[in-house]
Amino acid sequence: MPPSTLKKRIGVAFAAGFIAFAAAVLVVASFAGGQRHIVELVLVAGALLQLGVFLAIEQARRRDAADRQRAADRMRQQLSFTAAITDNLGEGVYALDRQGRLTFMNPAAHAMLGWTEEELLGKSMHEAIHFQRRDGTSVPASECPLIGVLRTGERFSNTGDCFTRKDGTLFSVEYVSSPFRVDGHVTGAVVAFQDIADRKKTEAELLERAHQAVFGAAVGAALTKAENLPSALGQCAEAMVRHLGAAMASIWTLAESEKVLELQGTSWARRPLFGPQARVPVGEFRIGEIARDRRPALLDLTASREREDDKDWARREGMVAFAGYPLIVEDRLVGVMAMFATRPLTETALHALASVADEIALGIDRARAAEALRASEARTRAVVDHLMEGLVVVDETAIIRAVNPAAERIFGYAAAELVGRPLAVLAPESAGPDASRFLREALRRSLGRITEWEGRRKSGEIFPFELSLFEFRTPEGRRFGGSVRDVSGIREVERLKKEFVATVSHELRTPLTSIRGSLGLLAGGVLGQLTPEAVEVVAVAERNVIRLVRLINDILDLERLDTGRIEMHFETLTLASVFERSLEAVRAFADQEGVPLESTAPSGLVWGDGDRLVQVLVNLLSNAVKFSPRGRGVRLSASEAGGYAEVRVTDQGRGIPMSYREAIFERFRQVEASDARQKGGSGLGLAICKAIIEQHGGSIGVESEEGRGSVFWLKLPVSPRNAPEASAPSADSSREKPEVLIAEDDLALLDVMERQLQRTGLFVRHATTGEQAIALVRGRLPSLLVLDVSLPRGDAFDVLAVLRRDPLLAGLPVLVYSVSDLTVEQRERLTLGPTRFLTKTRSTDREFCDQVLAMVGHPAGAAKEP
Amino acid sequence: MLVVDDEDDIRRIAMLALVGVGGMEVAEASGGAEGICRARESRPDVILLDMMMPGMDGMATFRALRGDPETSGIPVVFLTAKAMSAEVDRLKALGASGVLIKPFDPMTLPALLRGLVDA
Repeated sequence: MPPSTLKKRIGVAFAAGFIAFAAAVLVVASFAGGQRHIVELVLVAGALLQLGVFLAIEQARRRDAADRQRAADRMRQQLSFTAAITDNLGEGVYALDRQGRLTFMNPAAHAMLGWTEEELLGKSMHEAIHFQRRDGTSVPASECPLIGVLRTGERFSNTGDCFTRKDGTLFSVEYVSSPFRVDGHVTGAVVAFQDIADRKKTEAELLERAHQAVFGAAVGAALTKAENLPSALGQCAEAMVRHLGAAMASIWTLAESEKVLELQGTSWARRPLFGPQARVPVGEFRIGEIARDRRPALLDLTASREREDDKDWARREGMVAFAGYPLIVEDRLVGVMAMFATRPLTETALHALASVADEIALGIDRARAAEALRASEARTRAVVDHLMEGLVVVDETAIIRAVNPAAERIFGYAAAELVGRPLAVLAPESAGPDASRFLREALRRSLGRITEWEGRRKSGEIFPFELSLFEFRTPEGRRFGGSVRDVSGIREVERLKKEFVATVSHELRTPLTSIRGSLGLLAGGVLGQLTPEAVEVVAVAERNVIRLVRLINDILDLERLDTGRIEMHFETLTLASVFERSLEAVRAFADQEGVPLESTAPSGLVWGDGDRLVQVLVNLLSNAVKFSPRGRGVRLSASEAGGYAEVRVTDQGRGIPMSYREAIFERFRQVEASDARQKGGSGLGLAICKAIIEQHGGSIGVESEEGRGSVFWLKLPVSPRNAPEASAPSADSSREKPEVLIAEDDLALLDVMERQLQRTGLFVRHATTGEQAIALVRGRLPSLLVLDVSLPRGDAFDVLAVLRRDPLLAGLPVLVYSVSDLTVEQRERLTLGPTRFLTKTRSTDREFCDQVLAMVGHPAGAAKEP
Repeated sequence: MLVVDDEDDIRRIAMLALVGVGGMEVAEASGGAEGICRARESRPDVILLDMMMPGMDGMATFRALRGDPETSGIPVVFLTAKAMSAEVDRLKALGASGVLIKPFDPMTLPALLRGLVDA
């Protein structure tokens, strides 16, 4: 064969080797993952290479030096190329000679076996790595299929056999052993192998991940698409069965009580294991334990430590494993998800549960929140719909946004007629068409307080209503709610009551006048002399008519005191004159009863209505006389302390049992029912006394020892003009209007109060701190101090404590108003002169004005006009 | 003496008291208009005038009496069922010689009226 032909053949052989390798590399690239193909292709490529190499060597022997040199260069190139491939293969590759001894091993094989190429080179690979089976029994070299290849010349592949590492551990392999031949003779074998433990794990992981992804998607879909929570959780449970291999699954939620778990969703809709309302106490059974411990659980139900009853159940149902996972949102347990399986469960199951636990927990939480919101809305709606008071909601531009049925009733419109229209439709036309201004005015006056307004019904009727405004925010902006109370009925009743009182007063008195007159004439003997019996009977009739008249008077009196419509004429009085008039009025009766009256002439001035104070003392003195035995005296005395004059009426009568001491000041209460008949009187006397004294800012009470007598006492504020120099800071006599000083730190409220009082014709000054109030009072004494309880720099308690120390100021009338009701103790500390109390939130503007006017005497002092 | 009241019973009682107890000469009228006529006719020393009467009430009658020179000098004592002191003060401020509140004691009525007129 000429050299050129030989060269050509070598060239062809190399070209074939190249092409085969190129193909192998391409296939490797395109079949990544299909590892078996790679092994085979590499082997084929390897064999071709070997062949090329041998041919090259054979040829080299015969050619000239230059040719040899070139061939050697090419071969080196080729070998290094082969090495590069085998070095970088992920699979283990080693080559054996005819005797099964190692001739080559790549780095991947070293990595998997632990042996280096040097350590095993020339040694029997069978003895090194393939001498034992998984169970430890030995594999004789004669039975080794890997070596068998050298004998048979047949390619052999296997999956599941195992190799032993240098450290003695075994691992599962997949291998292919291929013989290679030279001139038709098997000269060795190449073995390519792969550790399939890793691959199995990877495959399992991939599979698991795929399952989890599908499971997660199913759960996500269930939570977002289901109509309600039980249905969503039922679908989640079904997903656990479908994707996690559970035999049955359930999801439980923590009840509101936080003590029990309720079954919400199950996978066994068609085969109920528990009732539909199943409950498990927290801490009991597996579900409850997971809830209590907030830890996942993975249990082998066949294990001996399992409870016997559970094992029975599990065996009967064919369940061998249980997995449960707590459902937690922000440290709050909301439920538990659990599943049973008929095959063993691994951590994988817990991982899968963990992957959806947060989502399900959030789903439960959201559903709960939505449910709570719906319930709350329903509750609010029910309340609003059934309120007696009307509710009108407007936005910042005074457009009506909502009304409740009561508001519809009050104003006479249907909700649809009002919503979207300006608030002005509900106001009298006189309020003007500018609804925003109307709203601003309403806010200024009524935010957080009750004020009286006029409204307009659909019929055009103008009616009075009480309004309290509140503010709230919505996603659409600020809203103002008005609580509307139609007081037209109340005003009408008030009017009727006044009319009734006047009517009763007249209609009862007219016939009584005739009866009384007739009896008086009879008893007076004007119509001829009566028999002694007739005189007696007529006297009884006359006495009782008089009693009836007194009862009518007392009822009318008390009614007027209650409604504050009694005319009180406050002035500075000497206590002595009050005593004198009272004693004078009772003297005849006392003489008749044989009860001596004693008194010590008092000094001092009080601030009060003389006629009313006399009325009170006459009542107390008459009672004392009435209940005193003949010959035992009744004593009237007075003392002064702490800005108060204390007047005492002391008797030596039978006394008042402890249990009656409060009650006697109530209406129609006497110590014994028979007293009323025996002693006469309406039973209203002390109630009237109490009302009168309270109007004076004073107090009344009784001390008594049964069988030894009683002391009725009353405390009255002393007059500020008690001291001779009192005229100095007193009200400017040249000023015509009564002056009111308002101490209030809320400027908006202050403004409202000032305007209201000015409108009634009063002169108004104001202070915004406690200190300022004291200074202004000292500078010029007002007719009335209107005092907010909470003031900066000296609250009402401080102000009054200071004023009380000053004898010139101690009798100043005070109107104290507070946000909340005051206690008796607080009231006592807040009392100065005649003192009244108002609670802001429960008093209307009108009541406030009336109260002020009552305390300063009527506006412009009508009663005092010359 | 002239008693003006729409209630027959009360008029009768007043008559009995004034005539029987006080020995006075008394004319009577059952309404405001009639009262004015009687007042002109009999020129009484005192007129006892009920406040609440149908038609021409006590106040209108009082004004008419005051407006007539022939009767303007006759003292008037009002008879009223309104027991409020403000009402009493108001009537006195208008020029009433006295105010009697129903029911009254018939036995002391003559002395009371004499006292009011003499004062």
